[in-house]
Amino acid sequence: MSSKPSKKFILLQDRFNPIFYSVLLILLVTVLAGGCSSSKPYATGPVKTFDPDTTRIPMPSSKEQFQYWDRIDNTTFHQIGKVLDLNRVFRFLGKPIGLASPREADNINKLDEVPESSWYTYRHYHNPMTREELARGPNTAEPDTSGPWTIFQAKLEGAMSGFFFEDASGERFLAKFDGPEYPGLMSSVEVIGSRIFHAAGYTVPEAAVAYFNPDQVLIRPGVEVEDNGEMRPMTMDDYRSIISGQSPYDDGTIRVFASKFVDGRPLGPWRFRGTYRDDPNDRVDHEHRRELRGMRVISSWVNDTDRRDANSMFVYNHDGYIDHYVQDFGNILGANGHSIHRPIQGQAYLIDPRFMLLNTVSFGTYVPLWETIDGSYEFPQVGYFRADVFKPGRWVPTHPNPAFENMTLRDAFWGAKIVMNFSDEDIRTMVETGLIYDERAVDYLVETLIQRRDMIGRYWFKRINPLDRFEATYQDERLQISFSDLYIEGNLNIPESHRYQYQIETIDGEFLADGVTDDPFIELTFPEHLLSRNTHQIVKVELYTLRNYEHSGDQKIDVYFEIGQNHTRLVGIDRET
Amino acid sequence: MHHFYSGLIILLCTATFLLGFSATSVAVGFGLEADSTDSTAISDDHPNLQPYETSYNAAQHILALPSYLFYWTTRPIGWGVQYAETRFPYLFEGERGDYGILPFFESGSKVRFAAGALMFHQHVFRPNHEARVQFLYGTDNYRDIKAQYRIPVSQQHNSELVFSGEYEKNPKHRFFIDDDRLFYSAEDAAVQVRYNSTFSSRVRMQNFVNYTNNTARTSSSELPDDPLTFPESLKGNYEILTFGNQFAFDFRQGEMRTVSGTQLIAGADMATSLKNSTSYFRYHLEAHQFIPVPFLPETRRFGIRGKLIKSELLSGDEIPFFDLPNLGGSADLRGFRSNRFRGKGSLIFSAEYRYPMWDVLDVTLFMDQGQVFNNFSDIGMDNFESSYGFGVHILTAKGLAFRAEMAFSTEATRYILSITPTF
Repeated sequence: MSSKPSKKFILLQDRFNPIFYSVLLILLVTVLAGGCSSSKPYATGPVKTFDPDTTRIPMPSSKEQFQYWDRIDNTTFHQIGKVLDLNRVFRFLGKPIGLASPREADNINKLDEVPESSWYTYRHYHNPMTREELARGPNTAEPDTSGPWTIFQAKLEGAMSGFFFEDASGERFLAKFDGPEYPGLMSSVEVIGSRIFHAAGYTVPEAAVAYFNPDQVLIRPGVEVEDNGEMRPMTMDDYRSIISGQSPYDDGTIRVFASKFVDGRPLGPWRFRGTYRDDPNDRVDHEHRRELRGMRVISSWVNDTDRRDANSMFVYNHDGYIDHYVQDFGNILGANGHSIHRPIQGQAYLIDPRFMLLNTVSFGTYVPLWETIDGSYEFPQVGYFRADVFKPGRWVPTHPNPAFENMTLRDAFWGAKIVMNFSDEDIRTMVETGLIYDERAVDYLVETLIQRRDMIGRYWFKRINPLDRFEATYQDERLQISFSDLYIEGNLNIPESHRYQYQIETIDGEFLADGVTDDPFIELTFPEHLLSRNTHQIVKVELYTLRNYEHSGDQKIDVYFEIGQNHTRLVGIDRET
Repeated sequence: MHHFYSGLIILLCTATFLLGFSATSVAVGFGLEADSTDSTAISDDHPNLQPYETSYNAAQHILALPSYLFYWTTRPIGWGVQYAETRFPYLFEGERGDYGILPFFESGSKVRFAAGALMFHQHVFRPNHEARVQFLYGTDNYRDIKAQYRIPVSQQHNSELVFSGEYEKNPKHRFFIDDDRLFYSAEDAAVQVRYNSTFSSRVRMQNFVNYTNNTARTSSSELPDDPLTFPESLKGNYEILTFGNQFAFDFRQGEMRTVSGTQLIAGADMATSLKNSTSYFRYHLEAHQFIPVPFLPETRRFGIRGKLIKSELLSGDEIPFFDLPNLGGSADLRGFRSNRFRGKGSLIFSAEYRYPMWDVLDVTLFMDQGQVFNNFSDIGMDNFESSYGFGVHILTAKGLAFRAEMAFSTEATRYILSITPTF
């Protein structure tokens, strides 16, 4: 039995069809547009090594620093906003079923590297630094203690009080003091952190530990301090209250952390999200910058828990563009400002809905790791800094950091290889710049950093094929390809444990060689006639690492070389994740 | 009709889903992400002259629209916080600053909802002389102003002299006769001088003298033809002077959270009416016990409270009704309205399971059992009223900062927001 459709239903059908077809059309266009386009995985011209974000611009206005809003926004609103961004949701849902891939960084070249820019400079990984360079870090001048220091600005903020001074040479510094309960801690980690981040490639302010004569300090006339909400001239009593918690050494000097004023005009903090509208050079969303995403791994190494907007700085330099500083390393290693880190720091956010939900629904029967850890420490000069409870893949800063949240496996590999590039001796060199007076504490800190470094290498290099530094030479029809296995170079396993399976062909699909090699070196015949048609030929090398004679998660690397009569060069790296 | 909408919803969901994945393809395909400008070298420009740029296609913008809307909706909050951060930095430091203003609100107490602010200064006139002024404005025109001035006693460690005053006006104060709820208008003023002394880390003592002036009037919400009205005999003005003393023996363990141990509190006071010959004596005994749950960290613990209050008439006709022990409200029988039960004595037992949701957040599951009585012989197992519920406690280094609870009983479901701890 059939019934005649009502007039209303017919009308509905009429209304339904245009919507249906419109959506279908949009879908078809979108899918086709996506499917039809492609880009080459290698550079046909020079490989990009520099991102030109250094064009002279008018000085932008300064930005205020909002310590609390920064935390509130990233902890709450940004977290909710992420769920409402359907791009992100679909990537999350599509990844397990192979329909979507993680959103990779926007500023990476064909070699999967970050070109230099106002954010990042090739340093230790790309151009190995000497011990002296590592120890010197960003410093061009140390505070001159031969004459009096003149305070030209001060802040009285209880335990965090400090002052700005001009030394005998006329250089300007910020002076910060250690917490009375942990002498030497904050000042040492500030300096060590500046050396590590500088060597990693970031722009950091100059930093040094200095010992000064407290009686050789003057206050410049006109310097004012805030007292109960009102400004008044600074007195020597104010100065003495600032240094009151500091115990003088036998020679009467007091230890201080001194950070030299940067060259240029500080304009406030930059954010780990979005771009700075007033800076036309700033074109890449900060959360999609590789050097900021990959910083998560470097920060995890040194337990840099306070890596957030407020601890960064835009500086309008003398060349008329903005330098992007990373600063404030007082919350790394075992220090948490004037105090020490707690076990939870690095393991969970200050407010972490993931664990809050778990705790609540388990009625307290779920016990997070940090609740089982004793927060005690062996050396007051080191504070709470351990390797045995470190989880490289789960490390988080105290406040959510949008760039860190966007880190992909490729970003993590980039960060991990920078960390793994620091040798034991490099680490000791940088730690010694902190002038920690207890030699056993230095040894402990060095050893802990070495252990954490290796844990980072083991964790991330197992999740992605850790081959890098590819090179090729071509002579007399012999093509030699070499590369580094960062896992083996990092002494994370014996060389015999890794072998390399390869297949080599021209970009036109002409087979050249395949096989398995015990060493990171391949030699093959490359007939000259392949170059007769063109001045150069692109060769694709497909590489697997066989760990203990097995595929490591079938992660492949495609490496592209341009082979010419008189030259060879690396033109592309495509890492499978 | 249903089929149409169901079909449309399914279609839209599918479309959005596909669009989401397609947007990813488009992004990669057009080189909008994770791609480099190396390939631009096919043009005349060197890639080092081509800056990177983040860009999004139309599909990505469409999919991000909800997050854009949310972002711009929340920006005014950010501007407000930023303004407050600049102008009132102490707002963000709790009581860590020397002075400041803190907003606060209450629910489930004397009125349905009240909001106000606490102003404090830690060093008024002299170092460590603390002054606080707190005001609340609530539903039904409720008003409450409290002021307090604390002077540390330098000769005795942790001892202090406290002067305080309070003015409270509640035009719709609840009063129950059996199960019937009535209202009266209450206007109370009080002045107190208190001396808190600490004998050791375990023993504290408090002595106080208190003057109160209470007025009970007909509530404006009372209807003239209502057969049940607030008794005329209770209306009037009362002036009462009270002297009291309390000892606390504190063997509790824990800093932010009390995780184990016992606290015993015993106190007595004597009240005299300044308008007639009425005088009465009141005493209370209170015990708190905290027991950690075995095999779990001590932050998972049970808390048990027992509290007895009894008043005895010494002379005169009767104890003023507002000074009688009562139960109900945010501090004891939480599932009942405040002042729900009134008698010459009250007995309350509470059991709570508290466990951490987070660093400074506790979840609590609680049950209260209580009854009021006139004579001890009236106490009976069948007379207990019970309420139960759950809540979240926000903690500071000094203990509870704020609690939000939901309580249930046979009479009501109540939402409690309070800065006062139960025990």
